[in-house]
Amino acid sequence: MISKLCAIALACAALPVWAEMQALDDEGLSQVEGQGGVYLSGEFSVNKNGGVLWSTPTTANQAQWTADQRSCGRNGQIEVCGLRLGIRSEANGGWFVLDNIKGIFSFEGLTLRTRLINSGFGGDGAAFNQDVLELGLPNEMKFKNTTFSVAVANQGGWQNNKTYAPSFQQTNIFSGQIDGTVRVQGNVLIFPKN
Amino acid sequence: MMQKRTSLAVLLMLPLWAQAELKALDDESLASVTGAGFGLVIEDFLYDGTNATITINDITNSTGQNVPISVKELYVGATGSNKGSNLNPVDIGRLSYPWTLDLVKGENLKTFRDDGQLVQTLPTNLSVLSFAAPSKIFGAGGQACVSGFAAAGNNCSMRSTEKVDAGVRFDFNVTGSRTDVINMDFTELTMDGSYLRLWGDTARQQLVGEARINLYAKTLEILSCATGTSGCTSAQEQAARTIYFTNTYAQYALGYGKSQPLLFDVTSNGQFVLELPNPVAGISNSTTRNQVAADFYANAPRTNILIDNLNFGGTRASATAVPTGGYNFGRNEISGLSFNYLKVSSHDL
Repeated sequence: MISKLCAIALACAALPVWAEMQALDDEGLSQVEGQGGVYLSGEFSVNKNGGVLWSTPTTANQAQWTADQRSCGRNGQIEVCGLRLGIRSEANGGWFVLDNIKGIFSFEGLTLRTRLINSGFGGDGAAFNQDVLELGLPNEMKFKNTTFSVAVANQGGWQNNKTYAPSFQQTNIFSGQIDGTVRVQGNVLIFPKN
Repeated sequence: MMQKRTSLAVLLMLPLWAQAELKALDDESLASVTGAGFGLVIEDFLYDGTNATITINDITNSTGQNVPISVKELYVGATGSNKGSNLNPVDIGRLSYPWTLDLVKGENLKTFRDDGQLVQTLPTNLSVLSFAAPSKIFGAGGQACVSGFAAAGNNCSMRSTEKVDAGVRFDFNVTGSRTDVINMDFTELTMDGSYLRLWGDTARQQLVGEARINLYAKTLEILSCATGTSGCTSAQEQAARTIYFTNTYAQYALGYGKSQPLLFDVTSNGQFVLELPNPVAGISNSTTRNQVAADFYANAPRTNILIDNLNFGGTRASATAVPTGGYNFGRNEISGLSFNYLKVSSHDL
């Protein structure tokens, strides 16, 4: 089989190619459509081993932490802190904070492609008749120790108010933690709306 | 062989000029391009969080101890799911009535009043970021917001197959040994006409907005125990601990852009504030005050909550039938509620 293939390859290489290339005219070009898409799988680990802003203290007593130390554990536990996002909605106001974002998040089979819809959707498809961007959701998303906290604070950055910044005030409204597998399926269709 | 042919083809193409020509868009084509934002539809959507452990922390009791809340049995799927036990995918939104994300001028973002009239609720010449659920339809093509219950209106855009079943169970671990449960299951839920609009208020130097949250559901059942546990196994035991809502809707209206924007704020000492200011505050001219007040009363959206049948401890003959037996509390309704002033702020305990 291999030798046959080689023979064909040699024969072809020796012959001049007779087919002539022709430029595509406008009509031809307009019929060229990009096919295919992207298939993504991935695993993210956000601040699992601590971020760059704070190192982890050795004691749960906040008064003994150095200026670059912070622990986000509950009930006296010592835990690394995750990413912090602060948004200020008023010129001289305080901050909405999404704090301690950390954990491992993985998915398999997120797809991205374009698709023409001209049928289906309970009769809506035929009238719609246009291209959409389709984001195919993965069937399963896995979370491990994924956490976040929703808080309000009087400044964007976190500071240790026991020793260094007594005026710093932050109130955690609630925090969430997700572990395990979530089933999310479907296709998100995105299109310009007129 | 293939590679050689490809290389030859590439070489042959090089000396040729591409014939395709770029053409300027004419005025007519340009005029049809409008910045109207994006439409979003989720085809065949299904969410099942049964196998994940979701915990909400940092909510404390009076002695400062954490009361963890476990979020279980979280699901979204097609109607007929039998409380999430038979999940099937569902289309969220329609291609002709999608969820939308827009950045538009206030005067171009009209809102349906309860009587079907389109009104402007936002200040003119102001860029507004809008995230909206499928719009309502007043006139031909309108769908029943709650099937078989005309009082909820026939002005929704979602058809019966595009409504969802959704549910969630919260376990409050009050103490080490005691767990309080709230288990909620909606059937035929839809959110037509809901929106969140955000913009910057120059005078106040802050982010403001207006929101409308519409929830229409055929049924809502709230069970206060964990199914399958002691005292919560037989149909009779479960019925005794269930609150049944049938043919129900809630339309929450927060804010009226022209004169009463919803203010989202954190004070400079780190406390959360949600405020609906007095629409006529700071206007000294009496004619202007009257005009602003008249416009507010005529056009500001109202909050309405309606439960056609509320029942404790009965049983349903079918999944969506009005329960029989138990304690029937009949029809409950709050309609036309309008906030003249509202301020909610957090305090540290």
